[in-house]
Amino acid sequence: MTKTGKILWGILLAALLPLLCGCSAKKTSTEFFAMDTVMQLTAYGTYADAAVDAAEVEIARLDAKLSAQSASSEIAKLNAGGFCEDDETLRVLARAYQIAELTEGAYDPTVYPLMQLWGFGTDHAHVPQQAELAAALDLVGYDRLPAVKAPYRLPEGMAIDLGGIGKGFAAQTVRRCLQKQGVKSAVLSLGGNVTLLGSKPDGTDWTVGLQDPQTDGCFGYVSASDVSIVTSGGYQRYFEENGRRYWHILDAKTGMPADTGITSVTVVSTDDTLADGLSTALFVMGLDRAAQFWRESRDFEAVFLLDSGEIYVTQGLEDSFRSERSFEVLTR
Amino acid sequence: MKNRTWAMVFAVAIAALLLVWKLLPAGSGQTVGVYQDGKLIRTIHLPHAGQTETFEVPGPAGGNTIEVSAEGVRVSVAGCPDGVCVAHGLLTAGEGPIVCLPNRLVIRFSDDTRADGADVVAGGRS
Repeated sequence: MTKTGKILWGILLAALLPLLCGCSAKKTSTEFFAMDTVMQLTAYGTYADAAVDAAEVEIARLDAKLSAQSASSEIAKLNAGGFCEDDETLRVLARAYQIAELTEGAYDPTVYPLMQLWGFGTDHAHVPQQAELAAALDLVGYDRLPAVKAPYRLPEGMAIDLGGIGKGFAAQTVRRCLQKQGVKSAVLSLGGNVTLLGSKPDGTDWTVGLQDPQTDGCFGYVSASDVSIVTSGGYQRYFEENGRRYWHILDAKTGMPADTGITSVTVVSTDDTLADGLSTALFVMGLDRAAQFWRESRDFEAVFLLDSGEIYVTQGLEDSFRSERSFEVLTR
Repeated sequence: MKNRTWAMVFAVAIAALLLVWKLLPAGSGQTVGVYQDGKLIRTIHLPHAGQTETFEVPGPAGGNTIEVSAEGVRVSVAGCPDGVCVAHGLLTAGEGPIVCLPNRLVIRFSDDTRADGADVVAGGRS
């Protein structure tokens, strides 16, 4: 081959390589409504089609079992005064209790009477009267729950809402389901809760944007693989009354929306359920208490966006978080 | 040059054209999909500058009125109690979708590659 020929072959290969790489991983996506939110599953590879179908079925199954709003669910039966003997539901309840205990009630699955009273996302959302709040608070408190074992029954009048960890548990279940189906690369968005299975098909980390509540953009980005990244913020569900905004993340001790100066908390963890539960808990705790809680833990990292616009990032994310804005790094 | 060299030059030119086509960002020919319950119910072609079109999509929570202009798409009126979809404002190319949970509606550009390079966004309003 002449020298010109070799050069041309080189150019041809260099030009074709990106095209070939771009076509190597088969991508399958689906979008559907479940658990009172919109979910998007995207998987890559030979088995992606069947795996995504199986994952959607799993989520529908869990939704039917864990939704407090569905009259036939295990949780609705419990809330109506019935017994629960379903192993899987009891496992989720045990996890909910564990996270509530760990966070000293900053996450509390017994807030359902309060959530019903406030009516977030319904056409009867309103600020409750003090007497109504006091009556609902009498029915709230994770520490009043009995030990989780079959047959399980709630104390009279108490009710459970697994909204704070349900999507996390679903993410954990779907992660296992996809892995069993042979999927090595997938990204799930369960109502804005992001779960990453493996890395991107090209082997690099995923880039996860963190929603900026003030714009349609992101205030920062986390590069990661094989973790869940869950954000809780008052901007996600709220209503306004007399010019004031009331959001859906309640402090179980006061019955009021948690107002600790935090706009949003993002938790990064390999434990999908923990990430979900802690994002709510850290929001309720406020920055100082949450930072101390992080210092005493080893299984998560976090990003805090404050009402003042300041951003705080825990040390473990120092190298994987980027933002055009300045941010402080919390150290142990 | 020999015939074989000419063939090579031709092949390189074709490959270069394919590469440029693949790398070019999606242009104004983009469409917007309106999905309800995960099913595509309407495909929108953005109109020319200065033109605005509106249409209604019925839904379980009173439906949505969707306004389309050359700049993008917005939900101008919604029957849902929270109005999160209206508060989203204008959806332009390179952004995440508009979601109306009560009406089980999602509006997104056909090419939903984000302009900021994020693969996915945590903490969306849904």
